Amino acid sequence: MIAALFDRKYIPIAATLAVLILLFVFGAVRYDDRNFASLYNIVGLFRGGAVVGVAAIGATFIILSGGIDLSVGSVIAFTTIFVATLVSPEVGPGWHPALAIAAALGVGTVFGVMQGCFIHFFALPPFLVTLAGMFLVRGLAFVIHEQSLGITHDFYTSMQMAGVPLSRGVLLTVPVMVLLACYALAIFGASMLKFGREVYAVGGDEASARLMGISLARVKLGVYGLGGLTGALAGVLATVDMGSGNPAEFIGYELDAIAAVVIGGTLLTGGVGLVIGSLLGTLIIGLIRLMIDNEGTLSTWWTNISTGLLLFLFILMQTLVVKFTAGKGRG
Amino acid sequence: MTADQAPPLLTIRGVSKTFPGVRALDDVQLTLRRGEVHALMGENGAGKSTLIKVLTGVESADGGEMLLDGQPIRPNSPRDAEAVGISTVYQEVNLVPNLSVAENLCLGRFPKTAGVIRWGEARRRAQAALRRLNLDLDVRRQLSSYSLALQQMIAIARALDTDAKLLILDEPTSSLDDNEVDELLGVMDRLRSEGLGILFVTHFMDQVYRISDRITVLRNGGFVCERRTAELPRLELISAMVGKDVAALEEQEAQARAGHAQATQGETLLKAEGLGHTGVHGPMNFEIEKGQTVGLAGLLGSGRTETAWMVFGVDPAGSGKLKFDGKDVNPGSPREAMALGIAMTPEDRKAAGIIPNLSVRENIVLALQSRRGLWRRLSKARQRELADQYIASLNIKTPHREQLVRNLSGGNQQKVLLARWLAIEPRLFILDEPTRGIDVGAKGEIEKLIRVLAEKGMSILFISSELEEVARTCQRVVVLRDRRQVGVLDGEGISEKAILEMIAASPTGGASKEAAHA
Repeated sequence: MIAALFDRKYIPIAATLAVLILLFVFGAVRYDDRNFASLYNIVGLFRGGAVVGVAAIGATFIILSGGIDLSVGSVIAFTTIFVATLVSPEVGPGWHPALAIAAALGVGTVFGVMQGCFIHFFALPPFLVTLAGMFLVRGLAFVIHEQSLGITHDFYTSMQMAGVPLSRGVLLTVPVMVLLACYALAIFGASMLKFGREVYAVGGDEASARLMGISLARVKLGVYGLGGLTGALAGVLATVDMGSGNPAEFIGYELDAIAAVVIGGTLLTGGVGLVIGSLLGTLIIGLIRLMIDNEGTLSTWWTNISTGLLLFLFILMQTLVVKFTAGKGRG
Repeated sequence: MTADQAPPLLTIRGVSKTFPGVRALDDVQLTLRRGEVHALMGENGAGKSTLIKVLTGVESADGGEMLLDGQPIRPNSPRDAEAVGISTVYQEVNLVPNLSVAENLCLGRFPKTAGVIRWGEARRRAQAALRRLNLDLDVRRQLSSYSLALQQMIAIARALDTDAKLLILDEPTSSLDDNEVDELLGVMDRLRSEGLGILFVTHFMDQVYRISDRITVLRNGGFVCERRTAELPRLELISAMVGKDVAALEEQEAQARAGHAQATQGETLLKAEGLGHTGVHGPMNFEIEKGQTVGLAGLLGSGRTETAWMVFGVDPAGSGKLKFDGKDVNPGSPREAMALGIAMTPEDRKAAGIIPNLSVRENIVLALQSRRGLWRRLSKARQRELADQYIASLNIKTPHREQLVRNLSGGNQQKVLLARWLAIEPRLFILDEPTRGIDVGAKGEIEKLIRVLAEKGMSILFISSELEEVARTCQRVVVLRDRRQVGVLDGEGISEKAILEMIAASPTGGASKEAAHA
């Protein structure tokens, strides 16, 4: 069992965890005077990462299966304005938020499955299908409502106020609990459900997986459907966070999600990676942002520069690990 | 053990299949009995692969019938075929390398409670399946951490775990060494005595005669004959496969022997002096004369391909000298080597040579066009002329020059690749395993082609793992072992036996072997 911990497949995730801890310790020492290592900041990382983190779950499964999804940012924006409009009694029908959220999750899932259909049945490249999806959904979001629309409803107010108090002034909010619950489910699904293992198999060798009797249609439609669902859920969390919907927001979030997945140790070529890594990746990106905020003198664009450098580093490391693994496998 | 009265397990009658432009199967029949190893033999393009695809539901037949245990079957997918009791192990291990051994054995049929996988039981079942083949592995480890031979065994264990009645082994031994082949044949023997029917597709004649009870021969998509192995002499089998009579084959052999005596012009084209990488490879010392065919012989991993790479600039030599046409050269890239007039067809024609989605014509003109540069385009007429010329002179079997290369058989793909390099008229042509995975007939044609090219003054560096073929084709053989040159044979001194003796001669010490593996 101990030996299993040193299995090669855990090298990338170990590196991710090491980076997260190192960054955190570095920040704790450097910004000690500002109480960097406080519980408030730690919970803040989860709060800030909830939207990208949930979207990254779907992205993880899609990337594990050997695909990619560029439509997530648009799906998030669409969901926010979709929910806001449905709830609003002035511009929309004035539904109860719970009903609106359920509808949004359904629409997101159906949209994802449709992308999966194009990819699987017409053998189209996922990059292009989801690129088209990205434009389509962004456009649809503006069709629903052209600008930001506030959500005022008791249900939302109570959701925004609710939470488990951890200590004075620190609240485990609803989005954070949803984030953690989603990861728990996703980790379970990836390791203990047939679907999860089939996703890994298809990403590892699609042709072999087919010959082993796996239904490619189920896997592909499944992962893209899941991508749509988690994208929509991320959008719902965003409405709770913002208290409004906005069709123009969340541009580039699909790339944040992909970055979180890759920094989390999942290979873009598919088949290798762990779901928990994407949560760690999300936290790392948030941590970099927090440190640059604390630095004070640096502009926020340094977040992008650091994330970029980190991505380079991780891609390089993964290539080396793959080479190393291949060399060993022959023995 | 295979009395004729035993009830047939599998009966195939009148099965046909047509692909665009190719009649892949034409009224094929096959009868396989319980507890028998049945060899399916034929050249590439004979229809073996298509027949297996039809049997396993990857392709559907246009006509005919298939009976398993007397029941008509018509599988639509590999899964369907498995459900009725037909399991297949393919040439390339068709498992998923990034998952554990247990997962590979259980994928598609995990034991579950309320949708949740029971890992404990999955591991136990995997172990039990492996034990049937006398294997005791850690099923939690990744598949890719085991050798190819073990992966092949794991694939067989998976195939058997479905209550298979019929096991199809499609070229299972092509990447195994001798010991591993022995082990696999042992497993086949045991499975046969358990009453399983085994359909064995292979190019290795020795293995067919060691293990099979019966042989069915296909040619050009049609049925040729079905015979008991013990009653079919080798020469007759070969003649059935290639469709030539025995006398013609003997003549071919005689022609080959004459090749040794072939005169060369006596001028040196390429001279390697101490070529190698210090401590890792070499030093290599050999000469290739104009119009001479020189072989590189040795076992797998002995450094044959690596030597060719140094000459072709893929992996420039770290030490030693290379003289080409009297001048010192050290090609730093394939481009530089090509500029000198050196061409090479790589070992793995699918990965590093043929472009399956281009036509025969486009594949043939590729190297020539690339050397001329993009701005001096070969005219369509010239391209057509070139393609037709090589299709005729190399006897490439294709309906027309615009056929996509992926639709051709392995042997014909190889010929297209040869044509591509011949079109730039190289002075030295390096052929790395040009006959791997192609059938006897196409092999013979490629050997003949090599002789014709040499007669025209082209020098050839020929690599093959089949020592018999090296001995037959070359006028000089450089023998390698563990990335060291261990000797050179010339002219009359060349024979399979002499090469083997040189490879087997006691090494200077165990140390060199260790170093090569490190």
